[in-house]
Amino acid sequence: MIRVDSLTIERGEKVVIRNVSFSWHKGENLILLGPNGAGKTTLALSLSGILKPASGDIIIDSRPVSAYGLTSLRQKIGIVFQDPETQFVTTDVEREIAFGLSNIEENHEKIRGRIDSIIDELDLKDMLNRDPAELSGGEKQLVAIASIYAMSPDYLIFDEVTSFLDRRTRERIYRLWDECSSSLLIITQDFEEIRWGDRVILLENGEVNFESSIQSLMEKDIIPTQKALFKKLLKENKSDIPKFEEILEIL
Amino acid sequence: MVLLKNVSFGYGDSLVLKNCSLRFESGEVHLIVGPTAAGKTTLALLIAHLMKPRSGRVVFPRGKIQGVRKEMGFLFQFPEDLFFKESVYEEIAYGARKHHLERIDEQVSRVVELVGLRDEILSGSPFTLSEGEKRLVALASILVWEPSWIILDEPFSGLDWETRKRMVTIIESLKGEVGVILIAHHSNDIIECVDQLTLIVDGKIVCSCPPREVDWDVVFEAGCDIPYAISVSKKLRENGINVPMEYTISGLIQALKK
Repeated sequence: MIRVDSLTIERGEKVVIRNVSFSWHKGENLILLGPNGAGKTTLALSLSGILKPASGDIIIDSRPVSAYGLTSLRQKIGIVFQDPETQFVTTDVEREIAFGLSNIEENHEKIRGRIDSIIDELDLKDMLNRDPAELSGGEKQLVAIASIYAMSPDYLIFDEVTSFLDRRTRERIYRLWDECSSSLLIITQDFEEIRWGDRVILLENGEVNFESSIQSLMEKDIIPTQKALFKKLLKENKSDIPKFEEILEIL
Repeated sequence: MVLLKNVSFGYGDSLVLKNCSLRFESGEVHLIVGPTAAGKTTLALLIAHLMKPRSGRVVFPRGKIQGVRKEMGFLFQFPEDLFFKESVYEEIAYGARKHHLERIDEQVSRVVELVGLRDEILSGSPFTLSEGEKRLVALASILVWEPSWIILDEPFSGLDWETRKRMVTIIESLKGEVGVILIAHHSNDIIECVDQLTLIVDGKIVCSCPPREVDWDVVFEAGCDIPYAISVSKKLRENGINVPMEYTISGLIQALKK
């Protein structure tokens, strides 16, 4: 479990995260929502040990995040950024995918096996010898995900990774979310993606404004997904729509 | 009107655009969709005369390049990366000064109101704004010189829901006055005000027509999103409710009333 307790993070003079507490259980997928500038990325950077908080604690499986060495921390928690280029370090895709893993694993056979299975899972065969810098935006994002996923961290953060991707590329990532054994924290602006979570946390102005299970949110149609918006309009026009009940059932 | 006549373009040996012909009407909203790496941004750069086609022609009514610079604004992906002024006001005013406009204060106030920015951010640094505000400042810095065309490359990506809605409202308000050429993979945000939709796949124009005439199965097969209303129309038809294939939610509600 990751326990965040009274966390405050400052960037420059500005307090970006203010006294935030929540827990993230093993096996649980969290969805982190919030408007632009709410502090979502800052919180994610801090959870993954990249940004030091001003005060408060982040406890990962009973140990403070600061007590982990880099190698053991990367086995615990990984993060994929919105802009994949910020994390590329090599000049060919295969080495890029293997880079992180080869820093935490010495057994070559194990590395090879893991890399092959990821190449297969994300369907990256055709781009293995290319330079990550020359790939399209969607391809870059897949490589960035593969390189972090290869390390099989227990907890895995995706920071708005799908926002520039077409439907087909997004679906490859969704398939990975379905099959992935890591506990996920998905930061998103796409409300359709909340269905990959068990619980939602809404961050506003650096504070947790709202926490709820996904199931109860879905039942109440609170989140403005396309479906919820359509259902609302349908209900407003109920008396004029002859097959109202039947349509609601089909949705 | 802007015309593309048999335009081809490539980087190195590979052709990114192959024999593309398109027509963009003034004052209309033109949505370009296509899978990742289809050539959408390249197409936009050619329309804006920021690159030259390898063969074919991009015809702009005024003809001269100086005209294009004045008449056409380009909002790049991550436009906020291009900020370079110390204050939001100066960032927006730069476009007006570059085009030798008079009454800069008035021009800045006009676009600040148009995009719905708060006055109090004008004196602050553009670099400390939220992503949503940054995108709106970038748009304001283009609209300030009143181009007759704007090209928006993935303007909704990375924005929160409220700012996406604001962006749609801005585009709606420009319609009729400004030709908008928009690249987006999520058509749901904008489809209600689109006049013409172009699908580009692997550097080729697959179709270019009003949304009502689009074969959405082809768009879906190409790996792109289809409007939510189309998926619902399909689902209802599969379940025995006879509705036309409506691409807007409001259109679908109207059709269900009959």
